[in-house]
Amino acid sequence: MSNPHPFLPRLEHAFTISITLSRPSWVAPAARGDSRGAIYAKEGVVEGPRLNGRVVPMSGGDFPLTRPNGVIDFDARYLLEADDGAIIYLENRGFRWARSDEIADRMRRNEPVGFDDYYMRVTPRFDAPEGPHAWLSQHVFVGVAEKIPGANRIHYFVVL
Amino acid sequence: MTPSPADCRLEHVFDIEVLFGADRVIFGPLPGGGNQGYTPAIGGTISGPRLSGTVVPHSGADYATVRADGTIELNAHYLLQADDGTTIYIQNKGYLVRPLPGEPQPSYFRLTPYFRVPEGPHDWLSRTVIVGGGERRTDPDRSLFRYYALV
Repeated sequence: MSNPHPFLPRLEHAFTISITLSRPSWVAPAARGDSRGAIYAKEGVVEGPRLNGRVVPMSGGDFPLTRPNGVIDFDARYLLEADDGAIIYLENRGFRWARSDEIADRMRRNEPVGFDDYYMRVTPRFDAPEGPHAWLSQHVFVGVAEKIPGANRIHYFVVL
Repeated sequence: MTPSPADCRLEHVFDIEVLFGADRVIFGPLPGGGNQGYTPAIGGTISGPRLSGTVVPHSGADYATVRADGTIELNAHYLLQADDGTTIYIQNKGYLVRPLPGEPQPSYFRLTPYFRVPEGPHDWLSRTVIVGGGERRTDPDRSLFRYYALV
């Protein structure tokens, strides 16, 4: 490329969402080789320097596709309620995969695993009302997720 | 675990230079406010440590939405061809905020692409979160994107 590219991304921790999940349901579509999951967000807490509040209970969940090679392709949607009462829609795409077959088996059995044993990262987008949270709909974010049996915790960083 | 950017190290993976055609369209307003754009990708090149190749000429476009608040929601689809012949679908989503007065570059131009790729040497693209930063260039009209894997 002729010109040097000055882009150097900076990641800044914005907030962390801890969420408890329902038992999953699975559909194996005849049309494809993957499986569709359905997992509901029971409740959760949003904490951090840029947003605090809660996950609106029963406002949505994740409908991931599990590929035959074990990679989970997330497709989550649910609502957040900020401390000031604002309702924010969150849409999450991303991936989870185990770093070995043995770890994959343990995760399938919903057993605890170490944070370094798997890759779980997301890119959310938000619909936020005008006001102090509107910036959420104008920035790219990434999330680093921790899988906990029956729950997860995702640390969100704004890409600056 | 204390969250810190150290937990999500970024690793430079490749750059894409996309050339845009002159037959761009913008129309609206749409019922929800804002305008619909169409900017065809007529070609380009990919270079970097993890991927090299070309943008397949005329394989897609950016169907961006120019929102009522002035932020542009990018939504580009096109095809890449790696040097080993593999065809890769890219969907490039992100935000572009127009330049501040007197500034040549958008004040915000960041993306998160999504890839579809056959199993093989490039399938890491379909299980890795990637972020990109963009820059506008003129003469010819093009964008430069630098992509980083979130490892």
